[in-house]
Amino acid sequence: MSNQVAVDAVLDALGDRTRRQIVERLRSGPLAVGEMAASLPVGRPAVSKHLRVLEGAGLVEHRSVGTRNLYALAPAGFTALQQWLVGTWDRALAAFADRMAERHTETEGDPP
Amino acid sequence: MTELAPIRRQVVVPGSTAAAFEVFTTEIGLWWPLVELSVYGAGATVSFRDGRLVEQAPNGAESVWGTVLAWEPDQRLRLTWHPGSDPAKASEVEVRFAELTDGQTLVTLEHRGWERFADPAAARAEYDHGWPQVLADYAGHAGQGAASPAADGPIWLALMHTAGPALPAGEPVFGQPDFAEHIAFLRRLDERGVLVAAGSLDGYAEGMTVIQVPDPAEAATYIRLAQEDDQSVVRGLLQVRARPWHVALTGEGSG
Repeated sequence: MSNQVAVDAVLDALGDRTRRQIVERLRSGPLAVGEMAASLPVGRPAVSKHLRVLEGAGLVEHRSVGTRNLYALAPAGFTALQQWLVGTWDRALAAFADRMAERHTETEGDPP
Repeated sequence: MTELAPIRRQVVVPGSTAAAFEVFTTEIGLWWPLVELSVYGAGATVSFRDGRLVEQAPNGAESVWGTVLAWEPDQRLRLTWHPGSDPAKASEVEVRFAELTDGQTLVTLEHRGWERFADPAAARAEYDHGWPQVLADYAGHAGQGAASPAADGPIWLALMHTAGPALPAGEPVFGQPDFAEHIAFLRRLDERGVLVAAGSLDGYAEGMTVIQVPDPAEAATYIRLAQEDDQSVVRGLLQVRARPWHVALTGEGSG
C-alpha cells in the first residue's frame, strides 16, 4: 500500500525534534540552510542532512532562486499524514457509531 | 502557511445529543477499538479519569492520551491529544454534538495542530499493530448505523467547503487539477436528485453546496459521501463540514 509507505516516512521524519523545529521554521516561508542553522542548536551540515530526510518524506522541497537554494514546505507529505489520521479517526468513529446503533436497538421499544 | 487546516470528520448516529455525549465520554471503554488504536493493545482499557483520558495496560501501566480542556455535556468535548507520545507534542481534538433531527445526532470531530503529531515510533515499538495499519483495516468498515425512522419533512444540509492541506498557499482552488473531481462529485449529487445549489463564497477556496434529502439515513449517507466520494476532499484539496440547515421557510423562488 503506497500510502502506508508514505505515511511511515512522514512519521519517521517528524519523529525527530530537530526536524520538527525545521518544519516549524518553514511555516513562515521559504528559508536557506544557513538561515535555518542560525536559529537551531545544530550546525549547517546537520541541517542539510535533516532537510534531505524531510525532502525524502515529501514534507519539504527546494528550489534555486539566483544563487540561493531555498527550502519550503511541500504539500505531499502533509497530505499523506492527513489521510492516515483521517483513516484513524474514521475507524474510531465507526466503532462509536456501531455502539450507538447497538444501544439504540437495545432501548428500542422502551417507553420514552 | 502558519497552521494547517484541521482534520474534520463527521458521522450521524442514532440517539440524542445527551446519549451521544455520554457514550463518547463515560462509555468510551465500551467502544474504542483498543486492539487497533492503543498504546498497549488487546487487554488494555481506556477511560476519562480526573480530567484526563487514560489507557491502562493489564499490568497496571498507564499512558495518558490527553487532558480535558472543555467538558460541556450534550454539546462539546475538547482535549489535548498525544497518545503514545510526549505531552509537549500534543495536538488538540474537539468533538461537537448537534441534533440533526429528533433522535439523530451529528457528531463532528476536529483534530487541530495534527502536523505536530509525532513520534509514534516509540509507541509502535510497544505493540505489533501500530496506528499506521489502521488505514488498511478500515477499508469497507464504514457501515452506518441502524435504519432510522422517517423525519417529518425533508432534511437540508449545507456542505461547507474550505481549503485543504494539498491546496498550495495563495492559489485559488479552481485552477487545481483535482478541482475537476469536486465538479464531478457535484454532478453525481445532481444526478441523484439531491442537489439544490452549489457555488463559491469567496472566489478562492470557500464554497457552499446545499442538498435536500428525504430522511436521516440519507442525510448520514450524503455526509459520508461528501467526505469519501468527493476525491478533491479525499486528496486534501478541499475540506468539508456538513451543517444541518434547519430551513423554516421557503419562498416561491425555491422551485
